Amino acid sequence: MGRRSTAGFARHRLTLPRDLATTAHLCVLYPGRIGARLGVAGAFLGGNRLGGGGFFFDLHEAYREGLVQGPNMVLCGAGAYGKSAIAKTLVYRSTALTPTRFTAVLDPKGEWARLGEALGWAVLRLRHGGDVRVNPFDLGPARAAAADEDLLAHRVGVAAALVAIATNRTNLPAGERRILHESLRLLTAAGTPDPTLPDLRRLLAEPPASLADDLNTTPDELADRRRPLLDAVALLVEDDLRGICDTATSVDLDWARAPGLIVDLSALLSRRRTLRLVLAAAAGWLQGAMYGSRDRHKLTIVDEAWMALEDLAITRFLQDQWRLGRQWGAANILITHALSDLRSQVDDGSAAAKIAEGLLTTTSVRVFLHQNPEQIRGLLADLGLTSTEATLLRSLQPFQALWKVGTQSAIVDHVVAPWEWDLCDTDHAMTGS
Amino acid sequence: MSSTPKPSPPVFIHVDGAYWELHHARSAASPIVVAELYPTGTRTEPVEATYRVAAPRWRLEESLGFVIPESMYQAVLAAPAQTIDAAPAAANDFPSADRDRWRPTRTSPVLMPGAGFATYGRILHDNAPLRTWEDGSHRIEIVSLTAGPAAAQAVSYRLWLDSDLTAADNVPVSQELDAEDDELVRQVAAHAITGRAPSTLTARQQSAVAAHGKDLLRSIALPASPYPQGTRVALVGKDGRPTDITVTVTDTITDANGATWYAVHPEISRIPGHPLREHPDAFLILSADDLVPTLQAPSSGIEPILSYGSRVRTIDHHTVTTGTVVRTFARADVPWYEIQADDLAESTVRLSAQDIEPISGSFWPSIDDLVATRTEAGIHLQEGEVLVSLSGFATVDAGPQGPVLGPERELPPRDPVLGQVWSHSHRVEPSSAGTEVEIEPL
Ligand SMILES: Nc1ncnc2c1ncn2[C@@H]1O[C@H](COP(=O)(O)OP(=O)(O)OP(=O)(O)O)[C@@H](O)[C@H]1O
Ligand SMILES: [Mg+2]
Repeated sequence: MGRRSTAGFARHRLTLPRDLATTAHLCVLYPGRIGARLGVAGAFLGGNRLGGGGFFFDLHEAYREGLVQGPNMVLCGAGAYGKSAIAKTLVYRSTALTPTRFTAVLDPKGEWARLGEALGWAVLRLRHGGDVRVNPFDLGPARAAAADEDLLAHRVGVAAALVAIATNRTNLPAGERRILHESLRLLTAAGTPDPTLPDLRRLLAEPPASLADDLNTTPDELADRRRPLLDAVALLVEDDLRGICDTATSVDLDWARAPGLIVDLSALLSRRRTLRLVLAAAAGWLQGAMYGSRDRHKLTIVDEAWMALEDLAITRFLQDQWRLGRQWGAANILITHALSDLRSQVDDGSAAAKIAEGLLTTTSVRVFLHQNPEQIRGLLADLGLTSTEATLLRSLQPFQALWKVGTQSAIVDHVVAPWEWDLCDTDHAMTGS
Repeated sequence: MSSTPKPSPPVFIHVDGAYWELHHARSAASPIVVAELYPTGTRTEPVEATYRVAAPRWRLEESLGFVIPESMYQAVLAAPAQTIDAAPAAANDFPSADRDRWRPTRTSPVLMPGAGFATYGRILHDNAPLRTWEDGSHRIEIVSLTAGPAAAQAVSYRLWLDSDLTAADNVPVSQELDAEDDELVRQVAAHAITGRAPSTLTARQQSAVAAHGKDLLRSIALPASPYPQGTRVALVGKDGRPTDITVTVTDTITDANGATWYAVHPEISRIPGHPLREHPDAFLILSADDLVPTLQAPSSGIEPILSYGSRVRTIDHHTVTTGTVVRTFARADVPWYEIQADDLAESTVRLSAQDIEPISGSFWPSIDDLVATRTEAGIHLQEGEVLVSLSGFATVDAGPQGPVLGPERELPPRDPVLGQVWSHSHRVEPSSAGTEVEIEPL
């Protein structure tokens, strides 16, 4: 892949279709928006082709200012057009502006480590037989801060998502969900502050009589009903999550102060199902530890998010997390390749496809990089882009993006300074130190 | 419905909560730079500038209280000039609370169309002055020396008094001076403190000069011989010019023939690993002929690859300003450093050599000394590290039982006390308290 200069954001760099070529035309495209310094509060990201000057953005700030309905963002576009690099510059340049924010990155390709190291963040490399363990039920400081019922609901959500992913289902039936609910309640009541998956497995293997009572059933009936759950949890503990999520959390993170965290999942890249499970477990863990805490803004970034979005159980889980987390300042960025690819991955029934798309269409901040022609038609209809905008997407060069921030739009020439490539370079993804 | 967009300003500096726009204005005499400060926000209606100054370059810097680096100034000049209504007032003061509040920081993003995106710190780094003299909160920068007509030359300088950019100017100086000459620093200081008509100075400048001017002139004055204790002197090289080896005078000795000798302590001994670091009383005895008073920065032992204990400043890192090198790694030919921030609450960061500026180096007589000191501090070997001492370097490789130190490769010989080979022979005397200082000869 050749190196290209990213210096400069002079006007001539955007090659638009002929009918879009001039600023005058852009005025027509975006009446009244010329000169608007959209989102000037936040990190500098590049040149604002419509408004002139720089383009600045911060997700929490945009939410606080009422520009968007929820602090959630998706960055999508064809491969190697700069999605990850843009997200990295956003994170890097925001650190001084948001000194108290906690940022977590779920990094399936292992390309964020340098940035993490440059910012002094913890970099957790999750792999089988590694030395890092994350307990998806761990609630860290949230245990003291949030109501017991809420925390239980959170744990049940994580457990249900893991079981659903493991068993290839979108959703758990109410009966199974209820067993998980009562089991986790029982474990917590038995004085295990942060139960683990093996604890859950043991309980399901030999359910106490009281569990049957709690579930208004008989021990015999329960023995039948818990069977699929037991199998799923046992499989998680013995295979997919073995050595990763099967004990108490081994990372000693100061949740009140730690600036950020990179969760490097690249060792699992060849095992897609495991990767998805670990991703969901890690997302659950992060959300759990921050549950209800209002002291700090939180930002969770999922790179290569299509790996999660192609699984509807995770998508639904993320959607729930977004909805809940909004109340306590949790913001989210999903980075994914073009949306129509996603569509083909989730065509197992229209209801299913709608969930993944729903997550994206309800996302308040949508950043589109170059899209291939065949992907554009779908976008048109689903994402409320005008046909001119859809056409525009086809002609975007690398590092050019159409930003839709609530009702406002901007075309941004993103810039990565030469020295920032040390941190953003994905051509040399780094593992180990 | 839509208006023509305002032309993008040639320079745009984003500070916390506002941004500066720098424009170029037409004027009969020297070029005028217009600086306008706008509040930031997400509103879409046009905003009024909160503050506006129009002045020639140096007056503008004095007014704003921050540096407009050369490349930024050139970007302004290259842009089409606007016509401004009235000539700017001779002296203009940006209120001092605002000077602090709206001053760009190292991390401030700067936009210069055509030149792309940079940070203010990066631009300062790329436009470093020819020379800097510093003493506590006072500082002089020799920005440039330019040949003028009729064999004259002019110096551009900046002066900070009490950490505030008090004066900046361009003045003629004698032809034979170059940036290394201390006399240039003295002439510049004299110009800033006593050479300008009070009418050209604002009230703020006048009071800064009144409060600190004498202090500054005293600290750069040429000392009379014999040099008093504490005088900073440079060792003279074979060519009779001062080298960059600096020492401080601790005592004067007159020998039987009436010749003057000085007991001196090397300034490089302040850096980690130096054998005299814990022996402030140790001294060298040198002939007065080998020494001249100096205003240059203390010898700092900075080498191309920094090692454990070196001090660095980041160019534009967001959370770490200064720190100490803990480890050095070689990645694709560029050294990377693990740096412990001075603000110990910050975790260590790993930055490439191109993202830092060295402040001072380290002085490990041997790799063994370095390893021993690190081990004592709980800093164990990591794969990929490079360890550098005065005499050689070694890399840390993967071994079956963990990281192992590779074979040492030699570096060119160094002076075991001065760090640089000096043409005259010298040796260290034990300190007056009689402590033996053992230094391996090279
Ligand atoms: N040092 C560099 N200078 C200029 N461009 C670079 C440099 N290093 C990488 N690039 C380019 O920047 C782009 C990186 O894009 P990035 O990894 O952000 O893309 P992406 O959209 O996230 O892709 P993917 O979908 O594959 O993850 C690539 O085209 C790469 O070749
Ligand atoms: Mg990417």
